[in-house]
Amino acid sequence: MVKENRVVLRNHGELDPLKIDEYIARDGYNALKKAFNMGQDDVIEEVKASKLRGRGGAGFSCGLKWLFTKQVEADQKYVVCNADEGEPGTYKDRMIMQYDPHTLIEGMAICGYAVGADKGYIYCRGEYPYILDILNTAIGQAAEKGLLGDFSIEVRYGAGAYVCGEETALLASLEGKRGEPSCKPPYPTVEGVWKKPTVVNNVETFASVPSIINKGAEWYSSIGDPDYPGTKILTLSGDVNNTTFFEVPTDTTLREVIFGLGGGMKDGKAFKAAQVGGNSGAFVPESLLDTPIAFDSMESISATLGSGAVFVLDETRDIVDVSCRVAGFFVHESCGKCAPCRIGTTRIHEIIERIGQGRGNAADLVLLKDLGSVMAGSCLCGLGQAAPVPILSVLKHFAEDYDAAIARAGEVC
Amino acid sequence: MGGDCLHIVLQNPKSMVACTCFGLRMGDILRLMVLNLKSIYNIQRGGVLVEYKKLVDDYTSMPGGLIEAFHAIQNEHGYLPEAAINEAAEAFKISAAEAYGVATFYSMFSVKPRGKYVIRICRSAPCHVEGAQEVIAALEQELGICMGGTSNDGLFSLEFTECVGQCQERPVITINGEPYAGVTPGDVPGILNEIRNK
Ligand SMILES: Cc1cc2nc3c(=O)[nH]c(=O)nc-3n(C[C@H](O)[C@H](O)[C@H](O)COP(=O)(O)O)c2cc1C
Ligand code: FES
Repeated sequence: MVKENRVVLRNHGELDPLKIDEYIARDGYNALKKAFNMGQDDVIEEVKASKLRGRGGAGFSCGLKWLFTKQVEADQKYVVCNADEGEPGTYKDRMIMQYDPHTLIEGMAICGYAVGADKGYIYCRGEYPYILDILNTAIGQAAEKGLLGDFSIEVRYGAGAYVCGEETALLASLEGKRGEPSCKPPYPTVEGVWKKPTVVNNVETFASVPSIINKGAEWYSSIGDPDYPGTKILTLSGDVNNTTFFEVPTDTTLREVIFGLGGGMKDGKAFKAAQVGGNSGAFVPESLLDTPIAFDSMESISATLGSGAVFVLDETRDIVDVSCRVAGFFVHESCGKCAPCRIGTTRIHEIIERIGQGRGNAADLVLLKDLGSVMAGSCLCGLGQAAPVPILSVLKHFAEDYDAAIARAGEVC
Repeated sequence: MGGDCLHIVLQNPKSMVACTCFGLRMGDILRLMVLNLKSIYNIQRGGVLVEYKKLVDDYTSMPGGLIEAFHAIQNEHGYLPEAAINEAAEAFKISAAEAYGVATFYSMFSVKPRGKYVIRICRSAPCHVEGAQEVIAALEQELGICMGGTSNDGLFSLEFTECVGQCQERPVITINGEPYAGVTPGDVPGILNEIRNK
């Protein structure tokens, strides 16, 4: 039986988030003190050796990212926490910020010290207004106790734009502009907010750091999958019994998540599909459930771990309807800057809607696949590139559902 | 559009002809002028312009503070009035078009007046499959308005949203940002009454 391993969420429910002393009593800010006594390069080396990879979806080495920013000569550098958490079905970053904000603050301060940045921003999605006070109170308490050294943190709010989770769009929004992504390179590590070197990491990534510094890289890298070690917080929704959050080692399989921790399917119905990683993630069929959640294992089945959302559907769910809604999300969230995404997301949605309404034909499926491959190769940012992923996965694993919808159209005519 | 036209028309009455070319009928323009003059009168009488400026000024020293300023205006007024956007543009030394571009980019900002309580219903897939549509139907029926509309008493507006990160119980709605998770159609009258009695 698979068990949780709470590294990031080690304090969850154990302390009052508004009382810094309770965090300190649980070993809080020891990692930061320890880091201050290590060389900057040693801190980065430790994080690199832990093999911690980004928890925001792209899976890039955290230590390497820090190293890139450290290496740039600049009068000012920034640390930015990506708390835009917009993938449907995801609320892990909220759990961290709402119930243990100091873990995040400590992780950011360690990063600031390591890369030589004295200013940090938490870019929090506008949908979490109730977290503002918690974060500001926690930051204020840490500063008042002089724990952060010369590092300061400011909380900024988004205003409802999924694309602002993309790092270049996030930085544009931080500068008070429309949150439109830009071409990389230059990467934020070298040229980020206000053109200064900027580390952008996800909340969960930063929140993993204090434990790594405290317990060492070796300890961390021995947890879970060797190439994507550590733990990952998953949030379950849909037709499972326990629709809640779990933190598990990264070698845990989807089957263990859904049928172990998730308590299996609701009302004794059969499993049909799980969309993993949020709205931009692939739908995984039963035959692939023994895949571990680790980044590369998921990639090997053309899926993504993404944000760690696991949205489970039972046998009674209408896959065409669900994928239509998934496609609709991207129509709403495409920023419109590049044509392949602006038009492609609209067309994908239109075609699926048509099929769902019994007005589709076999040529539509070819069109969807073509459009998907064009978008994957030509869209400016990850939003448009990933938008076809769930649709293509459904066409691959659940083709019979689409065929049936199209056959129904034949009967109508 | 209406406001922009008005500025042009006020500066140069002949441009009315140009505006009609854009598809605005003469009657529309006159109506807009009356509406705008009325609101300008109200604004100056109530000192609202001064108030916008005060709200904005708190953020001009903050690098990239425009979005924070918009949050502050919207928290106070429920939406971003055109005059406030112009005021912000001036304070942040950017064009009105640029400020308007920011205001309309983000789905939480509205450039149109809304009800005192903005109810947003999550329609992302996890909420969608668990009855978001039925909750929408109940809200629409109870308030006698459609999604996107505002109730006659000016109390409630209904808007769609994508996931608000409260997916532990679905479907989810938010009222002025406060989440209500696991809402059923049967809960709707009670929730609305609770707000009405506030
Ligand atoms: C459309 C889109 C949305 C994204 N949303 C988020 C998000 O909500 N949170 C996040 O941490 N990363 C998000 N990312 C990934 C970021 O661009 C970036 O890779 C990440 O913040 C880096 O942090 P990490 O290395 O710690 O994962 C998104 C990317 C794309 C393309
Ligand atoms: S999917 Fe509706 S709140 Fe997350």
